[in-house]
This record gives sequence, C-alpha cells and structure tokens, in this order.
Amino acid sequence: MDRTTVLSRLAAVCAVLAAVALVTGLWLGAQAQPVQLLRPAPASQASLFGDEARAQGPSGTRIGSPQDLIIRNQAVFLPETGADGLRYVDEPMLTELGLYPLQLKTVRLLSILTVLGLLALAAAFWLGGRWSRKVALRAAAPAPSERA
Amino acid sequence: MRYLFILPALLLASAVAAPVKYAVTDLDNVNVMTAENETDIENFTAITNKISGTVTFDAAAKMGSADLTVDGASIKTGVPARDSHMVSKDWFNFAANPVIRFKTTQVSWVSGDNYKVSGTLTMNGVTKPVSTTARVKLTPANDVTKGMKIPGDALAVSLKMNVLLSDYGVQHPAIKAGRVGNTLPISLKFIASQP
Repeated sequence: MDRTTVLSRLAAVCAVLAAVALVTGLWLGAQAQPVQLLRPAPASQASLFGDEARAQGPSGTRIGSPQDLIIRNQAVFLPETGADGLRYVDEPMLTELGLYPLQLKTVRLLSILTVLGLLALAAAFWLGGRWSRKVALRAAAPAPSERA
Repeated sequence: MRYLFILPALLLASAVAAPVKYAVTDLDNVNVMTAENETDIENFTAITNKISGTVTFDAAAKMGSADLTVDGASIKTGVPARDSHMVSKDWFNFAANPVIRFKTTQVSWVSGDNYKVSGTLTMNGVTKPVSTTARVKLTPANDVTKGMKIPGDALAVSLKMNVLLSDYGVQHPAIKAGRVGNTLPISLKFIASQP
C-alpha cells in the first residue's frame, strides 16, 4: 500500500471518528436534565430557618445552583419536581455512593474539542495524501530530455 | 414618688433587652458552608460543615454581632485532585492559612427575620470588608430542637455573599484567562445555641 493510500485512509478514519464523537456527545447530552442538589431535612427542621414558605420542592438545604447533569442511578432522585422540570437529588446519598455526575457543560466541551481535533487530523492526513500524490506523480513523470 | 417606678422599669427593660451569646452547635447534618465556582469545563460547589464561632443576639432590640470561623482545609469539591489544588499556595493556600473568618461590624434590622450585616471576611490571610443580608430566627427550645439535640434555644442563621477571588490574593493564570470564574458566591447556614 503506498503512502498516498495510507494517508487518505487515515484521513477517512479520522473523519469517521469525528462523526462518532459528535453523535456520542449529542446522545450523552440528551440525557442531561436540570438538577438541584439538596440535603433533605424534615419540614420542622427547615422551619427553624424560616424556610417553610417554599413554593415548590422538598425541604432541606440547597447545595449550589441547579445544573444540567447526567445521572443514571435513579435511587438518588427525590420524588418532588420543581419548576421547568427541575429534579432534586439527595446530595449526601451521592457522596455515600461515590458518584460525581457528569455535567452537560463538560460533555459539550469535550465533544467539541474531540470533533475539532479529529477533523483537524483528518484535514492534515488528507493534505498529506495530496502532497504525497503530487510528489509521486512528479517522480513518475519523464525527465524533460527524455520527453524530447 | 414617680421615681419609685423608674428603677423597676429600668430593671425590667434591661431584663427584656438583654443580648444573649450563642455558640455554633456541632450539627454536621445542618451546618453547611458552600462556595460555587464556574470553570470552562464544569461548575462545582465546594462544601464544608466545619463552622464554629459565636453569635450575640438581642431578640427584643433586634441587634447582634457574630464572629464565625470556617475550616478552609476541610472544604471538599467532590474531586480529590481539585481539593488538593485548593489548599495549595496556587489557590487558597488553606494548607498554610486554613482559617476563613467572618466578623460583623454592624448589624441592623430590616424586616421580619432579615438583617443587614456589614463586617470583614478573612481568607488566604487577606481581610476585606463585606456586606450582605442575613436571616436570623430564634426558636425557643421545643420538641424539634430537643430531637435535634440542640441544647437550649435555637438561633438559626443563613446568609449569602459574593466575593472576588482576586480580592483575596488568588491570582492563578486560569482566572485571568477566564477559564475559572473570579466571582465566588458563598452561602452559610448554621444553628447556634446557648452553651
């Protein structure tokens, strides 16, 4: 197999891998949902802080702001749902199970970087193949004295 | 004759409007400090329940003060590698300066359980003025507080404030490059009781 063919095939493989990375990123991202981490507490305990007047959601301490997370273990989800489909997750249980959920933000960034990197590699291999073909053609062409 | 009534009135007034000192109770499942940060790869929340200190509160006069300490070295973010970065001198240097201290200088009542609070925050060895609003609610000892093993009356405090990492000597290149957010929203929630 000559160099031109190898480089062309490598370019094709990289292009295919870029497409796979794109689809994988989109598939993973589609599984993300808005989640609020919470340390559940009885309503009586929440009332000590004056938190009893919450319009929606379970009582307890909110940990951080809502994030788009990918969580497969359904056991950590609390039954209540907030506005715009916000789900609540038991933060102490997440820690106990050793789970650190993947964020949609992370998936998107890594997916974009992977796709761009593979496309750049595919372009480099393709250009390398074109250059290699040009060199091979130039080498195969008869010398000017021979043409005469 | 009227002066006979003044002394008891003064004594009664002083008995009603008396500031009481409360100490932060050791309730790991209730007390919590969180600090959020946005980075280019993910947003994370740093958490600890190692809060200590005292709050002096006069429920009748609606006045008070607080001197609180958080153990910065106990803060966890869920990723051990990031936890070790945070305590290093590249970031908060909690290994050398673990104390985060919030001390009030002025507290004024706003409405209900809400108070305007001014004070100083010390972190990474740097002290800066801060101001925020806090919710302070005093609950006399009852079945709920006894069930939580709170000795005496329960003074529940919650507050939030935003600080800038750069104000506290955190000058990592990732902040200047915009890869790590410079704004740190901090939230503090705890129960204090009479020791």
